[in-house]
Amino acid sequence: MSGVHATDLSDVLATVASCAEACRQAPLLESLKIFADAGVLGAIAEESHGGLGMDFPAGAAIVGTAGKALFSDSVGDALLAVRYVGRLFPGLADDLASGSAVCVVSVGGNVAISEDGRTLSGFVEPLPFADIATHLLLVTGDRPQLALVDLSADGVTRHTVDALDLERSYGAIWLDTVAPTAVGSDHAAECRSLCITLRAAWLEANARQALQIAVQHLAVREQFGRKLIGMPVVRQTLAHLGLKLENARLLNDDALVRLTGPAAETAYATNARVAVEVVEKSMHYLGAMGFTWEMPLHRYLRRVRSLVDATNSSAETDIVHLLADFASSRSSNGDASIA
Amino acid sequence: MADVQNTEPADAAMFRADVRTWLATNLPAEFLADSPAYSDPSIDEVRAWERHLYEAGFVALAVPRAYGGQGRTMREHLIVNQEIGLLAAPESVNSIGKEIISSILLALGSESQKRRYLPRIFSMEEIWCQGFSEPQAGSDLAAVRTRAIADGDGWLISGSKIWTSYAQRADFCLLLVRTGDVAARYDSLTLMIVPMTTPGIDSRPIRQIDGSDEFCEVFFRDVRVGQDAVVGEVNRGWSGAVSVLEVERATNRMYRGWRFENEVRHILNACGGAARGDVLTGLSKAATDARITQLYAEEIVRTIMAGRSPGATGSLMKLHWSEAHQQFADFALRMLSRPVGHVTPELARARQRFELIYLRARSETLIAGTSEVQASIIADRVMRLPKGGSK
Ligand SMILES: Cc1cc2nc3c(=O)[nH]c(=O)nc-3n(C[C@H](O)[C@H](O)[C@H](O)COP(=O)(O)OP(=O)(O)OC[C@H]3O[C@@H](n4cnc5c(N)ncnc54)[C@H](O)[C@@H]3O)c2cc1C
Repeated sequence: MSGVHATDLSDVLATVASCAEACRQAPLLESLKIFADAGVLGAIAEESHGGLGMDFPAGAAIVGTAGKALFSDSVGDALLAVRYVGRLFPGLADDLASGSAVCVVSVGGNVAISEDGRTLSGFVEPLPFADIATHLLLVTGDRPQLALVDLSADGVTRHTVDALDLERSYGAIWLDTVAPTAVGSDHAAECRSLCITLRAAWLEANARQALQIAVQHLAVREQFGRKLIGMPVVRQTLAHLGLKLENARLLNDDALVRLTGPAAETAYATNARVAVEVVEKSMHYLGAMGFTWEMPLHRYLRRVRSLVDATNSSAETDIVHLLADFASSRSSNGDASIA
Repeated sequence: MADVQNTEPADAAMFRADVRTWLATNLPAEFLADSPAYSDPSIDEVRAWERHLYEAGFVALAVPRAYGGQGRTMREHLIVNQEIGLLAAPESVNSIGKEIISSILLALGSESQKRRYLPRIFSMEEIWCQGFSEPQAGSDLAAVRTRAIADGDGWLISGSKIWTSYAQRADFCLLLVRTGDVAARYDSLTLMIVPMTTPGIDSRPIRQIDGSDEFCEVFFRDVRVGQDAVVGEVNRGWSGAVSVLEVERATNRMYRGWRFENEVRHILNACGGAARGDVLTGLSKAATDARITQLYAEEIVRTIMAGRSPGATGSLMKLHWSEAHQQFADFALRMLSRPVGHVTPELARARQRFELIYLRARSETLIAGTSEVQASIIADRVMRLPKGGSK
């Protein structure tokens, strides 16, 4: 089950895994610092902006690795923030890359920019860690704009919202004629697509981890005098879950390379549906054991459900746009990648 | 760093444009199942059309020229499949020969077999069928009983095959036969080429659920073939049969994902070009499923071009496509069957097309290994689940 990741990525992923190990019990700010010190947060920022210049599939692999190893992770938003804030408002980029500022990213809120472009009003969708972040990077509008907001600015109110997730607090943010730190239209559409695609990768990684736990259990649990994993019906169901994850992974890889809006929406919608189903079924396969607090399955279920329920993504991309996107993939990349 | 690039190489783009232009000029509107001008082409007409396609250089793209191919790469093979798939063109009447048998002959056949048979398969001079399944050997293909006994300088074949597509029209059959002890199971099977005009062969068409008689029961009574009928080694046919099935799942009819897209577009057009509510939900799902099928095909081509075997990826694609396409066929028929005041010719055409697609889709979870068989392969070879076994 391999994606389009490059082989030299393995070093970076090993670093990410050891960072995740090091900050297992750490609060968010501390854990971001650990990732920052290892140089991970600038992974997908351009080298000209002090980043590592890695590609988006690499970014997704980093997000997935951190996501399945660390329950309180926020690496996806941090990667995005360092990349896009670096362009929009370089002054803050160093703080973000070093982990001393925390920026959450919203792409599904309902925020309007005033006609003179000076203020923002509206609200963003519930986001992990929005209650404790220092900044908000948001994409808004039909002709998308990217805006950076200092969350200590006048007109910002926020509060914690109830979510199933135990490790990632969720916050709601309201903006009432707030003056943004910076606004620009460059890369806004790209940021939106990348954000939801990284979330899709995060969901996929969590689901794979949950399935892995179920497989490990089924490989040792015996009933009717045999290991459950040997039972054809169990294997068939697991194979169907494996197939769904592969389908989701293919869409993700495609979206990460092409980064068009419809490809990203499709990848996200599919991963959201598949991740929830895979985690639920994985829990089912642990029997009553899966219903206990000690087994980590409910933590995966909680975090996956929380993100899926909070993300405002149009599950049904306009079909005409979707088909047009397929057609453009034939002449601009996708299949044509086969060189 | 990723092995995927963002622009189509110029030569590929030119080739695609050539294919597209040629198809637009040469594929008659009466052959297109989504055209109001459609009039179900006969088998002879489809055969002539496929020959025309071959003469234009759009068949056997990745096969060496010495064997009647174009000597190009899988990339061009994929492009042709995409462009044909996007049109509601007729299904090949020799895809078994052109894609499945040719692959196995290329891999296992002798030089003289390749030179004798391959060019005539691609040019549509000779149609082939695949005689694997038997009444007692379905999913458990290694239970094959049809037997070939060494007799002088050749073999005598007796037994029966079933569900053999196109047997009544085929010139040759690639037959899986038992050449040793049944107890040896996988180690006593051999692949043989049998001319369908050989005395002792009786093909009896079986009527299918769509009213056609594409598959047959075929009886063999002391059918004599020479030593040169054997493909590969005697008693080593099982691995050949398995690779036939792998090809069938991975590269055969590579256009399926794009034909799926064509069908989604057809339904969208039949709905007036816009979709809302449950139509939008169903079409979005179908379009995503079509896209996933396409991405599998592209991944398989990338793997082959990198010199690796696609292995069990074909099982992932086959299981995904067959089940998703069945669901789509069901959805499409429901949409098209909703009561409307006035049935336009376009709607009538769409209904006829999707009634057939719906019925034929029932076979998609059976052919080339059933869904349950694919799931077992995925469990064992993709996910590598521990076997479990008894205590
Ligand atoms: C349209 C069509 C064209 C065909 N063309 C050809 C051809 O050209 N040449 C050829 O050789 N064959 C051909 N076949 C045959 C095809 O390969 C077989 O139908 C297929 O292999 C299944 O075998 P079966 O029909 O005997 O079903 P069976 O093997 O009897 O299976 C019946 C049901 O039981 C399930 N099942 C079987 N074993 C298991 C298991 N271990 N665990 C769980 N479930 C199981 C199956 O999935 C299936 O749903 C064709 C079939 C069709 C429908």
